[in-house]
Amino acid sequence: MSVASPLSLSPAPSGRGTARPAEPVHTPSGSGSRGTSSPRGFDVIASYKRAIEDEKVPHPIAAILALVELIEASTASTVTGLASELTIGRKTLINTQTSLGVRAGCQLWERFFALSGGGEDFPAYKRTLISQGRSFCAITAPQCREKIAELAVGFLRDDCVILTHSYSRTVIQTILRAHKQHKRIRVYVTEARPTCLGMRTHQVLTAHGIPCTVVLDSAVAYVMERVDMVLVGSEAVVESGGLVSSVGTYQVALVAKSMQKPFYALAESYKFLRHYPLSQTDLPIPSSTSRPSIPLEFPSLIPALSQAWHPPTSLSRPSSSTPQSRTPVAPATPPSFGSIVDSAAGGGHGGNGPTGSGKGYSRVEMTKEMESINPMVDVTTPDLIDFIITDLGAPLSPTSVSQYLVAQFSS
Amino acid sequence: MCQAIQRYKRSSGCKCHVALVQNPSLSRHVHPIQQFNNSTETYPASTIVIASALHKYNLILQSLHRIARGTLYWPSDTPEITSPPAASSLTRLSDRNRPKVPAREMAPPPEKDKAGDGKAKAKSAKELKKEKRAAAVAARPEGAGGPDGVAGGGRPDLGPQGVSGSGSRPISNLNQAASSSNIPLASSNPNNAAGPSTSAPRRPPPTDSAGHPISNLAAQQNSFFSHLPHQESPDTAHALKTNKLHPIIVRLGVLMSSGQLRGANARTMGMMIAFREVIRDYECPDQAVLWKDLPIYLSPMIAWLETCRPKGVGGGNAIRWLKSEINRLGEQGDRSEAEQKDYLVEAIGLYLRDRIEFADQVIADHAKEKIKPGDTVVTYARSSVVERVLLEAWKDMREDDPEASFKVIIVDSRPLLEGRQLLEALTFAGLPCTYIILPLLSSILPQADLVLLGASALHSDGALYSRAGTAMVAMLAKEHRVPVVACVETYKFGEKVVLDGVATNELGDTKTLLELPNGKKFGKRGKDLPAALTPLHLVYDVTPPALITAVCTEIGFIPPSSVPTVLGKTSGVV
Repeated sequence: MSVASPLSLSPAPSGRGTARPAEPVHTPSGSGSRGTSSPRGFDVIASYKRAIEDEKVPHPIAAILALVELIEASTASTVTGLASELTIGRKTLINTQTSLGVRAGCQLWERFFALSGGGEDFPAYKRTLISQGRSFCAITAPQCREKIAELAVGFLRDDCVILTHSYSRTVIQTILRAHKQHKRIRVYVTEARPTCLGMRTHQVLTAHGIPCTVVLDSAVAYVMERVDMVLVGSEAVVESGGLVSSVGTYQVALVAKSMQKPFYALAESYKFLRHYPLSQTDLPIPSSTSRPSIPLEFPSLIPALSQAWHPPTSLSRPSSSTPQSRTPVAPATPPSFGSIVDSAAGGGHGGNGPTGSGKGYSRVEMTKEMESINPMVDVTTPDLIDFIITDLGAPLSPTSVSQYLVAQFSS
Repeated sequence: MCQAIQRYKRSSGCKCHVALVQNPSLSRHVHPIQQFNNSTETYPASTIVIASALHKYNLILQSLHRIARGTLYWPSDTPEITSPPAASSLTRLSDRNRPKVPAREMAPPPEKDKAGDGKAKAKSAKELKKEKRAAAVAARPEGAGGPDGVAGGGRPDLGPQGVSGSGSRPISNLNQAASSSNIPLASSNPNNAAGPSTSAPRRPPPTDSAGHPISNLAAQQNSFFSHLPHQESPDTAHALKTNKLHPIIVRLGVLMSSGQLRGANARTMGMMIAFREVIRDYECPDQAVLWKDLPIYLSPMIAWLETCRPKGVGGGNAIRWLKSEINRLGEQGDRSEAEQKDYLVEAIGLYLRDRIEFADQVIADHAKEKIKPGDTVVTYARSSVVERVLLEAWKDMREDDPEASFKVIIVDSRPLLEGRQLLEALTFAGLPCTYIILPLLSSILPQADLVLLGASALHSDGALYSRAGTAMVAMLAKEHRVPVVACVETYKFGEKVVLDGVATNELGDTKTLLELPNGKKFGKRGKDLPAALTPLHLVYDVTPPALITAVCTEIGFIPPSSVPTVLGKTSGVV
């Protein structure tokens, strides 16, 4: 595997051999007192949120940007002091943000920091760190996506039908590039509940004049026989070679495998994550207040059940507001579904009127609580993936992801 | 034999380890026992023993035994495990037996050592007890009515604890008791527990005329597997006569071949510690250069150890590393001999620490993350790493939440029944365990959440070389889609590709194979085995990489396909 490092921002190779605890360059004057506290007044999370607001910035890059800003705001005067501040900032980010991309970005930055080693002049060292971090985020990272599109577009033949899942900027960029090369591409995109980001993909593609149809998540198997290839993006690529991406990707991959359709994943190398999930639940996602640590657990006892069943009339429809913003191509799920059920089961029943408790089934929708215990991401196992197309050169087979990670991260 | 020792002493200039071969605790091993007894009886022991030498030797011995206690597996049916009768106290037993063994009587070193400082005194007292017990066991004739059926897995130093009713355990044994459980295994093997009167030790010494002659068995090994190395008792007397072997190496070889030092980690650590001692005692001849002479000096020892038991991939890697370290001395230019030896001794210590001890710790840290409350973990036989993972996971989980718990299913199989050691350690820690044998696994495995395996080696194609039976566990796990995690230190990564368990394997002891759990022998007593019978005991098998979900190493979780990358990196570093 002689692939180019994604951290082409790699500094002068002099620091390569130096181990993690870089020797303090200056006299450790302040490191003792300030060592373990993050720089005063700097909020890593706010910085991350600011960065992620930009449509074009993916999670790992936003995390790196936040850490670079942390270095800028840092008042540490030694390498060790800076390192400990970085560690704290990284932990805050990892423990609060649910995206695994954040973790990948933090890992990458930490690795880069460890390898950079430090020089004789601490302020200069800090300046190089910042400038290299910034240039990585501003220049190298967008180039990654560009490069992937360039590599992946070769896989898209003229007159081919692509199935994609949810919304991925890399996938869209690839399709648009193929479109520019005058390849006739048609795209099926899944609706991708609960985020319904498939609609956004549809919006973008139709705006560019690419024929695009939104498919129900449950109709993936139905549509698979008309599809030539499956192209998905990812949130993170894990060490097993599997993908962590928005929920539903796994079943798309399973269907594609069973129908022998090629399944290609697009992932920038900064999304590679050193983690090896053994099961769907084995992901290091911090449990926030709204989401349980293990999704889709059975409710403990009846009380929870009755709660879910009794106030069905008062619940707000989870996605009743989204349909309006959708383009009419999509069969907007909840309203039509609800009305069909209404007319079929409830007779001439009014839509939202409070009914007798016995007729609770007339409006069977997921409650907020039900939705909230559902997972946001799933793990696509490596055996279902044909290739992972990255910015590292030739498309990687899933097994070479780990080889790359081992080569990069273990020294 | 004493002549041999003296010759060795003269030729190698070694003063320290002369007492070693004479230490009566050696005689705890089955095969050399008679040789030692016979030879030591004919010479007065006082000729050679030096008190200080013995003290030093004891320290080394204890480090060897410490390893052994952690990772050592006592084969369930060697006679030395036999516990003293429940009613009789240990001391009385040995007193009774002492007159029969004059060799024990003339072993003055412990007494001399007692005169030393307090610490040494305690140690030597312990040693003395061990020796006494060993003497008692050794002296007991076959079929003397020893209740060896009890607790087939008991360790010799823990002998009395295997017997549930023995209240007269010497207090000095308590610290040893901490390393093991008091829970008798009787319930797991009612046959053994019920029959303290079943007479014969299940594994007669080879020289026992009443038992099956060993040569007969060896001849009847399947000729299809004749290329594989046997496990047979090494010829210690001859080995000592050659003058080329340091006594500690001879001792180590005996420990290995008798199965007392079992498990890749234990054997590699034992070997490296022994070589560290050899290097300490080594004196470079005047006209020679150390880095050139030392490999030549070591090579017969390495070869001899190989005849005792193949050192395996991990041991091979360690030896290769040691040789490369010695070679590097040549590049480093002018240093005195003492400095060079110090450097090597220190390097070996670092190797043991980094590649085995710390590696195990890191593996435990990684792997315990995968065990969640409520899980059921399946493990096969016994691996020191897996044991550590389970214990640490349990400790962590209990610290977080005293209510949280996970369950371990220990799968075991004949003839080694190593899983009992693990069972003992885990139940002592309070872990809920289930103990089953391999045939039952297909019914149990669907409930499992994780399979944890240890390994002897991991080959470059990702194939796991481990205790025979592992492949079946992995196969079943794959069938039921239970993730299989192999815990392997990187020093066990081998550069070979192994396709099956036929080309590379080891032949185990077939005597244990044919003995029935109720203590009866196969066929008629005193008769040779039928000519049509070829007992076959392969020690290892190969689990193909497709059956392994992940490998947990000290560099983290990797898929088996990444082994070559890791190998490339480590060999690049060395």
